[in-house]
Amino acid sequence: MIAEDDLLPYLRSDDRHGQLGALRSLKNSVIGHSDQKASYLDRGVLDDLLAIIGTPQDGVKDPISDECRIQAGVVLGSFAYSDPEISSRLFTPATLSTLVKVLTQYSPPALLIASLRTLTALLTLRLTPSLVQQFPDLAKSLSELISHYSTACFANYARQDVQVLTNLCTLVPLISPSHSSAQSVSSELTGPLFDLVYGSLKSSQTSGMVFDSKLKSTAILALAHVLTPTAAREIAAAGPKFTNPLLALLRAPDTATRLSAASLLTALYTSGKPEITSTSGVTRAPQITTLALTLVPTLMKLLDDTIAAPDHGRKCDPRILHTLAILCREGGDVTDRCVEAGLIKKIVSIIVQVAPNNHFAPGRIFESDGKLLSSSLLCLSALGLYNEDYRKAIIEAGALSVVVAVMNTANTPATREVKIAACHVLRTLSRSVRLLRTTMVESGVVCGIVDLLGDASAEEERPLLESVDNVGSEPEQMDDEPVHTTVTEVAAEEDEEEEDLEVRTAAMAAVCNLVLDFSPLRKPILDKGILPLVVSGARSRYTPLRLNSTWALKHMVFGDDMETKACVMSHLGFPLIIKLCDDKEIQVQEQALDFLRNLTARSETYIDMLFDNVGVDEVFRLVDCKLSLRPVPPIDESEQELLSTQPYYTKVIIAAAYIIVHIAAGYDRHRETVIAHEAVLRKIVQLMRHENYEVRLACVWTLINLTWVEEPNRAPDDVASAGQIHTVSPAGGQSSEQVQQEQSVSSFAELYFADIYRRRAMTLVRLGAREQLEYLKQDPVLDVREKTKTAIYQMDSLVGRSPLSAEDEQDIEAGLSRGVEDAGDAMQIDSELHA
Amino acid sequence: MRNIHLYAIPTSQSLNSHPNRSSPSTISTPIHRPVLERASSSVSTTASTVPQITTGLPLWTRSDEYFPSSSAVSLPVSPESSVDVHDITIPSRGFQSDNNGYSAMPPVPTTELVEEESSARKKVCVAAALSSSSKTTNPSGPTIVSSPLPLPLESASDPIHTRRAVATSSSSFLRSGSKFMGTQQSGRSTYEVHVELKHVDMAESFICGYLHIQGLTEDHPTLTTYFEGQMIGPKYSFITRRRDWGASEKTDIAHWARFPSWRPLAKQAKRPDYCHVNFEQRDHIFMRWKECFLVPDHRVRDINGASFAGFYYICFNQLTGSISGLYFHQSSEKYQQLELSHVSDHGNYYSYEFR
Repeated sequence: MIAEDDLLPYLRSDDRHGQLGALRSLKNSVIGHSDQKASYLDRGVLDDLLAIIGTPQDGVKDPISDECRIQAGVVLGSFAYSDPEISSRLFTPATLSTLVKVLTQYSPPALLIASLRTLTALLTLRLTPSLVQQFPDLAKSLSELISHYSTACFANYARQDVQVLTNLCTLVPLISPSHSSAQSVSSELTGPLFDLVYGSLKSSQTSGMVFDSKLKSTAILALAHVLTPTAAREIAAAGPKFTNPLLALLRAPDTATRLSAASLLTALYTSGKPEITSTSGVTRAPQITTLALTLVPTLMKLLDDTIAAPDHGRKCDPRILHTLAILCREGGDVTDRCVEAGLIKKIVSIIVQVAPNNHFAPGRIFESDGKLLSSSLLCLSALGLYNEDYRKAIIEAGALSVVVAVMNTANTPATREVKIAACHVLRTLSRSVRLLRTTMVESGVVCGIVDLLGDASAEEERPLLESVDNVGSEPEQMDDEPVHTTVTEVAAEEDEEEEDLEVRTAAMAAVCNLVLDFSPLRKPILDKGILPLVVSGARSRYTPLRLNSTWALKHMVFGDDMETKACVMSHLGFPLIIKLCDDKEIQVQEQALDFLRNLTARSETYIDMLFDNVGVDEVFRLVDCKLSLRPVPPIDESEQELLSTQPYYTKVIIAAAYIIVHIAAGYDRHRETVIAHEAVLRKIVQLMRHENYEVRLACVWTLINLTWVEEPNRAPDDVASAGQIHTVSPAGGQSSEQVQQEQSVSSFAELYFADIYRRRAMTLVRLGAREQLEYLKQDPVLDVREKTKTAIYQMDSLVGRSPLSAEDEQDIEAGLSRGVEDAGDAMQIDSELHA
Repeated sequence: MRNIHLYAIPTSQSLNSHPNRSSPSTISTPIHRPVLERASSSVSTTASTVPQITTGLPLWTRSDEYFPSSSAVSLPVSPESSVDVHDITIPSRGFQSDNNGYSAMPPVPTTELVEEESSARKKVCVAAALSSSSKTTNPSGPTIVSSPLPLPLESASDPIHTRRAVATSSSSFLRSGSKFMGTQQSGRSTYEVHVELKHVDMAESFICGYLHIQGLTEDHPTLTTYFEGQMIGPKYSFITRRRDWGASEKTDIAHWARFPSWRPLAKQAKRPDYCHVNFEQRDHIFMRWKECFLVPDHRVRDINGASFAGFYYICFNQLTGSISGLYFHQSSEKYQQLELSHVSDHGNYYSYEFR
């Protein structure tokens, strides 16, 4: 025994035996004594402990040195599991790097356990998504450790191996707490975790061995956490051999196992559904639906048990609601079952328990409450995604006032996630035209949502978190790892920034629905000065924000409200929107092209503006390249992922085709520009055999518009141009001849246009449009067949014969050679007119 | 919407006194859908459709709340009667252990910390904090699922908001932004009517939009209402089954029968169990349109001389875009006709998709 005051010199000495004794004494004096811990930390014990733990391993087995490292690790663990004021002082770059080093090099199991626990405690204290970026080897090391200890565990089932494995699995979600970080560790960790889970399920079945239930549930949760949709599909493809033992676990005696099994099965189930579906298509395999339906009672039972006792709502595991949210966002029977079981009211009762009277004062929301609130709100959001009645039920349960209260709460790390979830509820509710026109008007969401968008940009220079500041005041770090201080701080800043971007992204998603033309909130939101914020969002480097902002812009120019269109264009220049049309992310391209589609709909003014600002040829070049857009087959991704992006490419084609439809629906001179760009027309004709009926429909509409015979009195612009033709010609100008002159103007215009219309039709016939139309007469979709009839009628009346015989073809060929010359002349006249 | 001075018999007092009628407060009565009606039905309906597993494993430990019915239904999840665990294809690295090499062993205790000193000290119980499984409970009894760790919820799977469901339409005429114009014939008066569709969701058999009617009252040259429509199909039957709308089976049939395109269906459609499948691929789509509130100000409940307490039976022609409708309200003139045709739009289709 050594006197306590003398401990520190021993810790710093080279005498391993003395060091070991000192560590043991230190352990006994600090465990359970916060004051002791604080005092030792003040005296710099952290450095000593880290130095001992990080003692370089020279390959020679040294039991004393190992024991010292273990004891130091245990002492560090006891510091980590104490009051937050103490444990947060441990959160230094040096600690993190030392602990990660324990995992990446050989360490005795006892040291591993202690270090894993310490890491778990620290990362629980503050989630650090950038950790895996700071330590690129971390995932690989974890993966190797899991493999190694799994093998050992299945061979001997030693208690220590089980402990190491359990702690490794607990750590997995903590090192990857965000979507992107979880994806980044997925490829390393999915394999070994699957082996571990599958092995544990199998061992229970084959040998009746009682596999430690905690290890089983943490391993299953870890696997569910790192599972990407692609990996989930692969596992789901293995079928009932894997899912049945998991289903059996839904009846496990302990709640953690049931919950973990339900969350993994949910991940497997939802992976079967593509990200984008058209409501007329894709139906899920009945097997998967059945699987999902078996999960509902399990999860609802877990939830009911939690909230049965008064004030126990706060103790509800957020993962129950989160899992339910993921299930319910698929819609259909699963959602119906949940609503029938009273899920909406249950969730609201939990929210009321966590935050009575919508009191979300920042001091009141703790980290765990925040998780619970956000998962509650996310679940509400998922329930209301598709069904109008459920949205109404959510409103009636009082959720909107909760959303407004949350949005107006001061920003803290704990409320940030809640705000994101609140935005998703708002987004869901604003999918209802009825609610937009009624409840939303009075709810006071406008200020809240605009503030959330403005807030984030003002906060970009916010200081780092308190504890990091504290750390910064103590310039202590391991000599061999000096670089990590700055790396960690920068990374922490990045984490913060990403969180802010997520808030803005979620708020922007809600804005998308709130600015639609039938929303009475459109004007108040625009009046609040949202446009600069949306435009800056469209410039963001953060793709989800850029996507939602472009989406919001598209919705702002939806509808015939020319005032709003003008207002949007005054803030948003064409260069940005054209740049977004070539965005790397296909969905952003889709929104940007849809923006142009909406801008040019029913508006010759904006067709002209587009041509003037971008240039006619540039517009057609853009459309041309979008019409032939195909997903580039990625080299290292599976076919499934290729398929999953396909629908977005189709949406881009549809958007581009409708830009042409809208230009062709403009004035006659607009139609002339379309006819003049044969490359685009050729693509349109080819696309008439596209598998998507909306693409085919847009192509047929293009033909209908290009063969449209304008009545002179319905197109003032065009009559004016015909009049100008006459004034160019040498005319008398005497007033007595006025009547005659007008007659000649009108007959001249008629002839002029009749010729143009016929030439247009013949161009289309030459490009093969007539044959394609013949084919579309048999189209499976009623709408396409109907529009095809119109197109054929118009085209045939212009060309003059129907159907075409071989002789007609020759006539047309002959006529075309003339027609081309004529077209050249006409274009010349036209360009003179519009010069 | 109709003119109550010309064609409606009731006074405002009788409007309020009649139980099935629109008092101002019931104007915006929510449309009650069958889906919600199911929610109030007995629990056994739910339970009988929840399959149970017959995999050779012990029977589901059932909770009475969710599984009151004892009838076991075989689950299509597994075609096998028992689980063969030996020949599964593992989609990642192979499993390395010997299949038969495990031995049964006692469960591992989960509390094993560092605490070695006197119990008088405050325990820092890591294991307890990490473990919720140590509290093993009977699933049928009440349990508390505690969450000692605010574990990250965001995983590598898709973020919760990425799902997109693109509403597609079966007809160019039946899409958001589509406009129709025509007349409503009420007795000897004819009113000009414009309809503008705002949202069409074939998957939910839902449609909504604005209905503008001109000259109905002297005070308001144009009145606009927001309406919601149910499309007759698997979700909504020809029989209205809405007491608060005042329609009986008899009035339903009497109104539908006035549409020539309904007649071929008449015989089957009258059967109570008839399901109108593939409704979106037929030439005609039948609907019910219910006006809900006034636009722009939804709070205005009373318009002197006008009422929208009833609803329209609608027959929509997908080929031509024409709409025929019959207004129904118990106490108003029967069979007031709505005739609308599509306003040509030259394929000017706006694009929007609720986020």
